Amino acid sequence: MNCHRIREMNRKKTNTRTIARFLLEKQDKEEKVMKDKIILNDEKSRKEFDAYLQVWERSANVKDFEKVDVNEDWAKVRTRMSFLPRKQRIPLRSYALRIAAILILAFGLTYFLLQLLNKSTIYNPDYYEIASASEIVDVDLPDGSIVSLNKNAKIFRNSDFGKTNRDVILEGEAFFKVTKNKDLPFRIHSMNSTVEVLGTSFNVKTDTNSIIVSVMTGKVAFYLNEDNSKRLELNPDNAGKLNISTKEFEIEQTFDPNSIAWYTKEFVFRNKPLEEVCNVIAKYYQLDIIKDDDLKINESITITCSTQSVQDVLSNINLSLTGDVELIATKNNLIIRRQ
Amino acid sequence: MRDFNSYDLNADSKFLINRLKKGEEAAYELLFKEYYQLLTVFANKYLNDIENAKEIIQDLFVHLYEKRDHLDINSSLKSYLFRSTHNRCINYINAQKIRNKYADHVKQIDTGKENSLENEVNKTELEHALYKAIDDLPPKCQIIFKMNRFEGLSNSEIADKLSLSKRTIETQISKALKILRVKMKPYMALGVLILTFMQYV
Repeated sequence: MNCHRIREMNRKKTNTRTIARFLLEKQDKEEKVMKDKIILNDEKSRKEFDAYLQVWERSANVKDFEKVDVNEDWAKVRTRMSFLPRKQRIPLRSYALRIAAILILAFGLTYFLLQLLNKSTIYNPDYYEIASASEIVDVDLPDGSIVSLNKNAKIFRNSDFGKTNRDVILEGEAFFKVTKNKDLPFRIHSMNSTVEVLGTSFNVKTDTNSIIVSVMTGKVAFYLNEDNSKRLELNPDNAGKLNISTKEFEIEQTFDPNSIAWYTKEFVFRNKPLEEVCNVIAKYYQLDIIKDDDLKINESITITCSTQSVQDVLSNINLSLTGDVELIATKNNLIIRRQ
Repeated sequence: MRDFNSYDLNADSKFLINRLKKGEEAAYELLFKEYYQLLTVFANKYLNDIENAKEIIQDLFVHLYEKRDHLDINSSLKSYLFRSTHNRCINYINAQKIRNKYADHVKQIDTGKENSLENEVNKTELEHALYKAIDDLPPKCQIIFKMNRFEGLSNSEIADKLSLSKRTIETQISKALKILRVKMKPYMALGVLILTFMQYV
């Protein structure tokens, strides 16, 4: 019945509140009477009361935990452990200032710094950093462009992005889908080079030795900061590579779609020798190749398949092989053997 | 906030131990962040001196890192850490000759009763779980609850300080109690809370 339930609810409310009040005030005769009333009335209420009492009493004893600041003390402890230097997240402004403080020998760095300082839009305290860790992260930029960060990559942009500039700074590897805007060139800066685009999709991979730009659609200009007359213009299905130490550009006439398989989630092989196919697959899934030295494989493969499961990829390939060779994958290895 | 059972370091012990042996910073960070607060409060029960307790536990972690090549842990990481803490505290107390600062239950542990150490560890873990539950309370609720239980302020004192009515304070405390009771239910079911409650009587 409705009345009964409402009464029950009100009683519950009174109980907790009364308990709270009881616990808060010093115990006096009046309260004690009420407490006994609660206990006597209802076994269930009594258990409830006991539970509250336990929690209440125990709570005072846990205040010591408040005195221990884990993050602060971790910072102390880790300086005593000599770990190898990890890539630190440095806010852009102090990054730029830190470079200024060191006398730069590499022209590229100096020029990059000048570029930074000149572009008041980049040199802006409101710099946003987005980083990926063990997952691929998709980033929506304010201008409608989309950046997919591969694992362990970072991108920086400022608060004016989309309004006065479309500059970003990239560490690691990312795939860009850039919206058209002829007033604001989309520029991707890395340590000593810039990739400038109008409206395209392409992949940029930066590491300590090289920067590789692969264009899927549209057109991209890739140049050194210190000398932007030295530039590569890349078309679809082109890839350009900048060797950071020699400052030389190389161009690859045929863009290998498998280099961005992490993004497309697809392998595409057009008449590729089996050995090359195996290398690509082993690299992607981080497997070691095991093959008999005397096993000769002459076949070429043409196949398109999803990267979702290495087993599926290999069974697809096995189906298309005409010889007596088969591919097997274990946890750590890709095995090429006779059937 | 993670709850008691969400990450079982015991299960991943071997994997973690391997990474610790390799000296990987991430592994040490994980271990530290999981156990530092717990071990420090546990050590404090021996020493009654939170700053010294912190130093001892920090030393423990640094030592773990420095001697990682000789890491020989057959049991779980957790037992290893607690046992090391116990030993270090005993050594410290002996060296400092301050036996008279012992709490009664610590004297019990000192006699080498295996059970007592485990009970003490469980008790500390329960307290840690309760602390995390309190730390997770909604802000207004948390402040008021902590002012009363941690700082010892009375209802009227809190009401004055925060310019709220006594009734509001009661409401927030009762809200806290409800949330905490629910969160601590699993521990009560285990009978641990009851056991430790009895130690208070």
